[in-house]
Amino acid sequence: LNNNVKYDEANLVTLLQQNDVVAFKHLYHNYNKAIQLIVSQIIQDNHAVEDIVQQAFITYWQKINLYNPAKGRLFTWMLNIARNLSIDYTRSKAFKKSKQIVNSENVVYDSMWLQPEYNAIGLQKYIAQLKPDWQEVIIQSYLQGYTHDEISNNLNIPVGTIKTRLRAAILHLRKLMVEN
Amino acid sequence: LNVNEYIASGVIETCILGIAEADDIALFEKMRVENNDVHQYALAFELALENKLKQESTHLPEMEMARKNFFSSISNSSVTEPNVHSITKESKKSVFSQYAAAASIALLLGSLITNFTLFTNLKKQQSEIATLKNNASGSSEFNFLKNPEIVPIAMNGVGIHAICRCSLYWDKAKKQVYFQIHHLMQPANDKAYQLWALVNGKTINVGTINYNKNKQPFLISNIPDNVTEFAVTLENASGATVPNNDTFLKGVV
Repeated sequence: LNNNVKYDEANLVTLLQQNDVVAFKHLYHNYNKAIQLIVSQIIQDNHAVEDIVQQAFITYWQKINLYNPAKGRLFTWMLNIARNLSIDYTRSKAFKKSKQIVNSENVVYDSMWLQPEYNAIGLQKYIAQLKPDWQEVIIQSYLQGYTHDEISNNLNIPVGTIKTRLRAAILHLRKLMVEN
Repeated sequence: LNVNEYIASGVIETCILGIAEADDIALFEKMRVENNDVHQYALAFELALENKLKQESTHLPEMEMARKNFFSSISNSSVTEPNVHSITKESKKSVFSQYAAAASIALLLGSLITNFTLFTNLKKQQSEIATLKNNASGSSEFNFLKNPEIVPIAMNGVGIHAICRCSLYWDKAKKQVYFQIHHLMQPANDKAYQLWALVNGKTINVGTINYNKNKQPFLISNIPDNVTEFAVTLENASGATVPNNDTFLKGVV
């Protein structure tokens, strides 16, 4: 395995779509920690994070031929698969049992959000700097996977307002990311 | 649609992060193909996001189990065919060399005994090639992972067995599962792990787990439809008709 090889993204995708093992090892070495970071923003349990990361890479291996470069960069495709797997996990019975949810899902998510070690990494560091109204929609949308309609119901706010807040928050996040 | 207003609206970022609605995503995909400004703006955000996440994840620990399992999966599912070809080629070359050498001796000595030896060697080589081919085709245990219809299910340890971990890959169309052991104690000689499927609230015996130390996945057939949960218990080697209360592993579909 040669980890020092630099692949042009188009060449890497071609090799990956041919199920080239070396290219997949390169993909793993270069992106496993970034994917781990995405998953750990949504799931607390280390074992579950490792399982989801493994599942994510197996999904990349299985579904690489569905990736279409015209729709965005490879990493964006990988990020969204990892995020969806993580959100699916948080909605599974296994997760709910493990968290022993008593009142509502939001109690668990909120308490996760308040844990200091989860506030210092990745996007969450930037989300924490947003106005509370914006934080709320970003957390429910990005970290919990709710649709705009669901957030509208949860917060009892019109869908239009949710969209406006979401886009404003995202633009501010982009600015924060660029500044940092 | 004014492109500058579109770019400034924030909708591009929501699409990239996977939090936009379907109609916004459809419009974004169309705009990206048709307008270079939109494409360049989107690309810049994607690169910034990728670099930021890579940069901020460097301190995270390596996940040995995920790495091992993933590498093992992809390595085992891709090497079979090339190996068969290279082994066959080398073997044929070897057969030819031996044939040529033996033929020379035969010509020199004109010995019937040498001819007999040559024939025996040829047969032996052919048999070895056939064996290698069989072994190679039998080692493609992970080829099933290439099938996008396979449903992966994490089997997690329950209660005091929390350390136990296995994976199960369900091929619904073929009504079979591939079971892979990651962490599971070897059972005593008179015991065996048994796999159960929960269907409409009813527990169904699916079969005994063939414990193998090399952790290669193995196939269990006749999986019923509509399974909502799989579980593993430790039973007597002869098998049980109902599971005991001590569940080792559980995986929700």
